[in-house]
Amino acid sequence: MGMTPKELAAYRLQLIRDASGMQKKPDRIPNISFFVTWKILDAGYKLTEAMNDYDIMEKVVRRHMEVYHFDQIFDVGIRNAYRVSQAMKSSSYVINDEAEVVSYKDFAYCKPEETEQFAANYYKYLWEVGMPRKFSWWGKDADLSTIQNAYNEQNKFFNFAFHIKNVLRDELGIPFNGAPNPYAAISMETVLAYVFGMRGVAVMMRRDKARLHAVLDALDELFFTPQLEQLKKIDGPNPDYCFDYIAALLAHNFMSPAQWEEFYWPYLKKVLDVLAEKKCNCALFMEGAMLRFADYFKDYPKGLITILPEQDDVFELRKTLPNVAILGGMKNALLGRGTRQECLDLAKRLIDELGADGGYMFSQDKMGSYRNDANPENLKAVCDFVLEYTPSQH
Amino acid sequence: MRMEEKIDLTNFERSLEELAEKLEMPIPKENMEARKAAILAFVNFMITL
Repeated sequence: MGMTPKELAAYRLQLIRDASGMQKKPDRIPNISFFVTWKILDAGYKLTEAMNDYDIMEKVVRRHMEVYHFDQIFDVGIRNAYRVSQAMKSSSYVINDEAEVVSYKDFAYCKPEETEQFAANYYKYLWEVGMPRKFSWWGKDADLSTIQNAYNEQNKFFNFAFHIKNVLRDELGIPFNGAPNPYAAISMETVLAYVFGMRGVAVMMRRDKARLHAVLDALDELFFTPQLEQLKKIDGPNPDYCFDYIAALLAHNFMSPAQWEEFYWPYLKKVLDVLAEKKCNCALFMEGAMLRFADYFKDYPKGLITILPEQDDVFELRKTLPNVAILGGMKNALLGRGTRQECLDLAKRLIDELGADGGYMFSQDKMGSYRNDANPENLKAVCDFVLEYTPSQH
Repeated sequence: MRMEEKIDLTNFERSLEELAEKLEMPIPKENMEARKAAILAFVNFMITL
């Protein structure tokens, strides 16, 4: 392209800001990687080799961006803090190099009957009940060296995250993705992922609402509300980053519309309202399906929300929510098992129908994890096509 | 820190204090509150792993 990395990062940043902003058609369709562990396998490494070694992980990420010319990437090799988990002697991760599969065990550290204790003092509860439940060695005779080692590993992990993002920007021209704004995380996602687990939340939403609310209120008071208040103080969009707020939403999949109204939407609405007021943008990875909740997003202005859907039909999403930018659509199942021409046909259709007037960023519909999530030749052909193709305006 | 040293983690307040004293961290010991806050952030992250 003849641009320096700095110029390229600025160009790519503008592509993504323009596409998500929906006011101006970007110079071309940005191409964003949603690949996670697939890129390790594609680079010829075993999963444990890369997940245990940040030098190898850096090579994996660099190669991925260089071979496929992505403009941005969601996972820069830090999706799984495997080394930190190992240092804590956690059994959460199960990695099978032969089958090329990373599994993460669903673990709930809180029991409903402990809600009062949890709500009374979150950190005390975590320390005295949650941690020993999760880590059997956390107790009376714990080795100080285990904690020191895990703490050091945590710092190495954060250092790698900082390092790789800078490498990508300064050497490969990949702009920073999510702005370091105050992060008002939706408490229900924390409760679902760690506190009560998926099964626990599903049961409590029906049978034990009071306790579920008590836990949500405790987390809101400690994390969500203070972060939201800080978010209200930012000046506006951070022009050095592609998105001002990035979140992954999973819990809605377990909810009826009434439960969504009660446990989820009030919190997400608060965040979206603040971001809208500040004229910021956000990227929401809506895991599973979200179209049944589309009405809640329809009144927000163009330029606020970018949705990365997983199972929803992207063409229906565009019709239902013309005010929302779309990121994604390229089916990993097709990239993995389809023909080159089938992949190119879908890529062209996505760009023609979703990107002709802006508001579209090319990406995949799944977090690419398994070898069959893409045939490298198909992916290369598609990425080359996206880089060159300009749709005609509607 | 002696590598074989043990710590009793059963009481939150006491062991947080002790860890803040003993853990090697890039935060000076003069700032114990910051050291404790960093340990709480660490624990909050570890429970997710």
